[in-house]
Amino acid sequence: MTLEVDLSSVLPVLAPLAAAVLLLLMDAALPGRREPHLVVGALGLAAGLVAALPGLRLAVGEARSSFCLAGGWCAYRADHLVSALQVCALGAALVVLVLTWRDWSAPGPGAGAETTGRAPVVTALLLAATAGVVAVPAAGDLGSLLVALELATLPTVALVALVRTTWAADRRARAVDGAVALLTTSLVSFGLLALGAALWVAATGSTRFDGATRAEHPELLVLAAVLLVAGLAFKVSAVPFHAWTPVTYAAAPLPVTAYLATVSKVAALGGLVVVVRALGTVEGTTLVAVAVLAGASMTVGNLVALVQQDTVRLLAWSTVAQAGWVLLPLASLSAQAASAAGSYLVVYVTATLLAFVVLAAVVALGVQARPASLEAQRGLLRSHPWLALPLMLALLTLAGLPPAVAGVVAKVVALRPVLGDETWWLALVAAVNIALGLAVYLRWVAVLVAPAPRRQAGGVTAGQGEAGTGDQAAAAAAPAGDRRRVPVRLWALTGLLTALLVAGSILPVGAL
Amino acid sequence: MIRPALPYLLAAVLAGLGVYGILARRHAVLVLIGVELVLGAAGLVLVTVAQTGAAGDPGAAVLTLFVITIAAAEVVLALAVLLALFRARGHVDLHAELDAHGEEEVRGRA
Amino acid sequence: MPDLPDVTWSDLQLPSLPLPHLPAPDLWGSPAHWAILATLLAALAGLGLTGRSNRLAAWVGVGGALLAFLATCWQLYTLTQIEGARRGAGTIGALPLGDLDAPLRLLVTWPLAIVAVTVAAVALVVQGYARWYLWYDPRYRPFAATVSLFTSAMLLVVLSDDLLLTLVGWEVMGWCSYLLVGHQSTRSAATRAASKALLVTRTADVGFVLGLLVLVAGAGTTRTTDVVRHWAEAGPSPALTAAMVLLVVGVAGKSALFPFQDWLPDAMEGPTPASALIHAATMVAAGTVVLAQLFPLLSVSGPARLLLAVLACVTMVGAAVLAFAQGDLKRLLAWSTVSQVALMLAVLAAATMGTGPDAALQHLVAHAWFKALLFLTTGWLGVLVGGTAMALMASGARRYRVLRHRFGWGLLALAGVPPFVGFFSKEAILGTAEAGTAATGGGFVPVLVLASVGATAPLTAAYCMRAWLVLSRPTAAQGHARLYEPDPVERIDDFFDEPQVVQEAEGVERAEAAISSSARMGTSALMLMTLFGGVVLLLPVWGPQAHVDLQLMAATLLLMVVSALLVRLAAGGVRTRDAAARIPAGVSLAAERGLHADLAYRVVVVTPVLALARAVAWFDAEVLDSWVRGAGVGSRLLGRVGDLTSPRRATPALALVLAGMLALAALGVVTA
Repeated sequence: MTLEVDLSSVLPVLAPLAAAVLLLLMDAALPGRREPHLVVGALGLAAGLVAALPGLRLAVGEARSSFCLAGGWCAYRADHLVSALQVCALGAALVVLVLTWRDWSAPGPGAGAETTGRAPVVTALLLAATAGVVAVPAAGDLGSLLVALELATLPTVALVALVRTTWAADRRARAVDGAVALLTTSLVSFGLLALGAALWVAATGSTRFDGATRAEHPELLVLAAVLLVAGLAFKVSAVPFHAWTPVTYAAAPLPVTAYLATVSKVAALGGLVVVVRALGTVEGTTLVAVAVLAGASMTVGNLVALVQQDTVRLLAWSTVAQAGWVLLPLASLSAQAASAAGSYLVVYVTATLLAFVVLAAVVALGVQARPASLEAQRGLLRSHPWLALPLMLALLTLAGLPPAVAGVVAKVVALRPVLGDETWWLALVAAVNIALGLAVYLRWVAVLVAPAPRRQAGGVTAGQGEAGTGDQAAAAAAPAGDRRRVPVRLWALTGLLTALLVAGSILPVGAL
Repeated sequence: MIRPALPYLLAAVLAGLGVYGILARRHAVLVLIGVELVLGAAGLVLVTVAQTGAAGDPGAAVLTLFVITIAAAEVVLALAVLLALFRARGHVDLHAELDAHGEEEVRGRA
Repeated sequence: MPDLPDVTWSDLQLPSLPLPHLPAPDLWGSPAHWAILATLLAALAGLGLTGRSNRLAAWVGVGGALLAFLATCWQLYTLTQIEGARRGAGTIGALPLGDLDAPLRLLVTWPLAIVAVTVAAVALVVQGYARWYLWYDPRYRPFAATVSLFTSAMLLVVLSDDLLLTLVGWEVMGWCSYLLVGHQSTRSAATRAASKALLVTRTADVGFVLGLLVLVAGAGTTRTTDVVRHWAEAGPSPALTAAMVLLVVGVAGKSALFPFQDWLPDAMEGPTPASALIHAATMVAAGTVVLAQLFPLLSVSGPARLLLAVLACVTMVGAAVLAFAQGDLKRLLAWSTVSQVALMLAVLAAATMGTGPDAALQHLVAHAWFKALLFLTTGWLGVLVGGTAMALMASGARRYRVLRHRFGWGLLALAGVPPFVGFFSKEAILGTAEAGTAATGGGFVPVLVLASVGATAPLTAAYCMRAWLVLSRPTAAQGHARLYEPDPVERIDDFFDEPQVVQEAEGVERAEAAISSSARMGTSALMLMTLFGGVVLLLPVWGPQAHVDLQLMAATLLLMVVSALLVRLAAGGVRTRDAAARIPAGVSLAAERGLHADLAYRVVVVTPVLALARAVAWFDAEVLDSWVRGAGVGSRLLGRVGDLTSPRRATPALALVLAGMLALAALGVVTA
């Protein structure tokens, strides 16, 4: 049995993994350094991104494959849609790395355990998780899918829990609580995935997804597919698998939350696309389940997001709602369903990432007492227009309102398969949720645009009491009245993502 | 060759026990054991399929190995997180509140 | 009874003289275009280009009106040179309305050409007069522009051959009337009067528009001549009757017939030049013009004619009675206008196809001359004495000699005394009404009209006599020896100087009567037309084929003389020489309030409509909007419930996951 290995095709997965191994070796060789590890990590991600770009020029039906057997089946198969998802994931991971650069490369105050920093460990975790995310959509059989999924999930649990020891004890404990929530959910979901995989093999007699799936017992295949979807749905934060989302998003550090909200969703959608495509050659009967998932996620996410007072929680519940939108096209039988879902996901990732970047910038400014709360951002348009405008663009994209045409096109693309399928109840639910979504995001936009309240003197509030983090203490140590500035890298990221959204609005790409 | 129904039945019992363990136990490690039971059930199904299914395709048996390996990696991570939980909170009770709701927490940089 | 000769109207008409052939300059467009466009452009220029200069606005306004007047005069000449005496012209081209044909043409025919000249002339006089009257008014510029716009609209109505253009002119006139009556916009009485005028006329305009719609829809074209031909060929039908009845209702509103009459006396809150133009010469008579253009249709619709006749006759007589009891000269003239306009419309009801509608148009022209003269002179006297109340105006004609002839001739023309113009128009009306009686063999409508006209003539004479007696009451000073010879009135060049009040020992009255030369010239011109206007009415271009019943004429004159003498008798013992002082105070007050018509409008129309509007608004805000508000409240409530029930412990979250898996599995298997 010969196995063809095409390294250039599989480079998007190999580059981050190789970088992870390399920087662990570097840490063994050069202990005490932090910056080089981050550089190596960034290079690995960039290399993977560049390697995945040629896949965007593939025509329909073509694919870049690797690990192929003689019979034509390949364990790694990246077509146009998969390559687009890979590019999206690698780009988002790169943005998150830049976002968290200063935090991961900073030492703690004084000497001690923090001098070596956690940079190698957390960077390696990030790279490993990204490699898993990139491998999931290209999986050619159940084994690759399961391994890649777990590779994408487990390191993120660790990322949530690994916060700096300079943080207050209570804050660290809450981060661990968030990690426990994510952990338990991912463990149980993996159990469901394994059961589903077992039933799939029982039904079809093969672990491969090669388009010739025949099922002797269709009900068993349906059950298997439902279990697989249930196992994947937690990662995309679909209702009722969403309970970990607000807990973990609120507890984790902001860049890790950004990673969870963007890159992890790519893995989830990749897995769902693989399963649905495999099913699509047999029969399309799980689709009611997916439709129910989508409708429930949209509705619950939007309703609860309406009453949130904290922007991170608001974004968490918004993620739940957007998960519904991502799942919506997959509920139909059309051939473009997967592409539609992929397109929506790309727009969603860009917009959410921009929102998180601006949120990080606002927190870095730290003007108000609780900078991530909704009230703290009142009047941001007047005080910091260059921050508020990208944020408003991102929110309008998520809501699907002009002038963020990219968001409008994304919603249209997501709705088209449903309307073409004439699933009217689902279309009705989607229409109601467009209105609810508008309310959710425009509520935030209204706060940004509202007149600013009277500002507190200086930007430092000493004696914060219960939840002072390490950086608050650091800020208190700075001279009082010192105006905090937004770091340059945050401006660069904001500019880049805004440019992407604007370009997507001027030249809407439509379905991938 | 035993009847294939029996392993499937056993797998069902294991899965049921595992789900019971996940839902009913407070101690985090016991919940982990419940998860492992579910994974065991999945592995049993896979092995049965490998034995009773069409010959020549070793996929099911290989997948069993994958499942076991991944389960091991999971357990490593899970125990590490549970250790951190114990250090932070002093217990590993999964019935405890994970999210002090309603407070507007301050977010710092990671 | 002496055997009176049988005289027909055509016997009295002047012979037609051949006019010299003047070289016509090859200008763009027809005189109709010039007339309408000149005033329209004057209006726009007056609004936009005059900046803060009253002088420039006056030049623009007077210039536009002068140009329109010259154009309409030239149009008279061209009509004599054209075979058939009809001249059509297009405007902006036909409108693309699918099946409906809307050529938007203008048409000039003989009686309407004279009406156009009259309108333009009165507008010119009013523009010149308003410059002096509103010298110190800070809003003179919009006033002049609005008067120009109004003139343009009225000329459009007179000269249009298209019902769409008629409607446009009609509506623009209504709007300009609102602006002009409410000119002193800070006075609440003025704004109320303007709103009342607008609302009453627009309520009636519903009928006007609907009637035009039915006519246009039936004929498939908006061209008036084609509409008339179509419906005339089709003969009487319910649709035609309905359309004409609606049109009569619409005309009743604009022309202040019962029950729409109460807006016109209140509209006297506007400046006197506006009253002179709108409520004497033009807007109130626009209905007459429209009905005259559609006369063939009116003459075959019995119910419409009956309605018109009844409304007009009731108004005619009632207004004449109310005019007698008014305590303000302007309001007296307003009620007189109501009565005279009703007279014009009544004769339209009584006329037949044989006599044609020309009698109404003749009275329109005559009324324009003498009523405008009376209004302008009243305004002049009002400036001098500080108001238009009868008590203030007493002896006005005696004190200011320059006003004496103006008032006198105007009132004589109003009363219809020969040889003034009012006499000729009244005789034409009587002749037409009698011809109508003969043609229908004693039909109700012509008989009613004839009786009402016969009753109105002495009543008109009565209030004219009353007014004259009050105005020419000898002053206290004149009871004594004359101390000075009154000198001619000081004239002032109005476009270059302010009126200068010259304080001299000889007498304040001489200085006070100062007026601008152009205003004075205007009133003099009107005065001359009231005397010599009969010549215009006797031109061979008018058409009433009617007999002049000399018996009836003599009887009417006799009644007028008797009524005047009675009034003189009644006024003899009154100190103010005001015959109306003999009326009991309660009756007099009720008459001054228009017999409480305003209260009736409020109770019957305004209060129910406002109650309905409030009910609808309440329903919209409380019942319909509550659903919308409820959606927001409900969503937030659901969101709060979701937030509270979202699991915050690990085990319930896992339970949710497993339950979800079970539900999905069941769903998937069941729908497989």
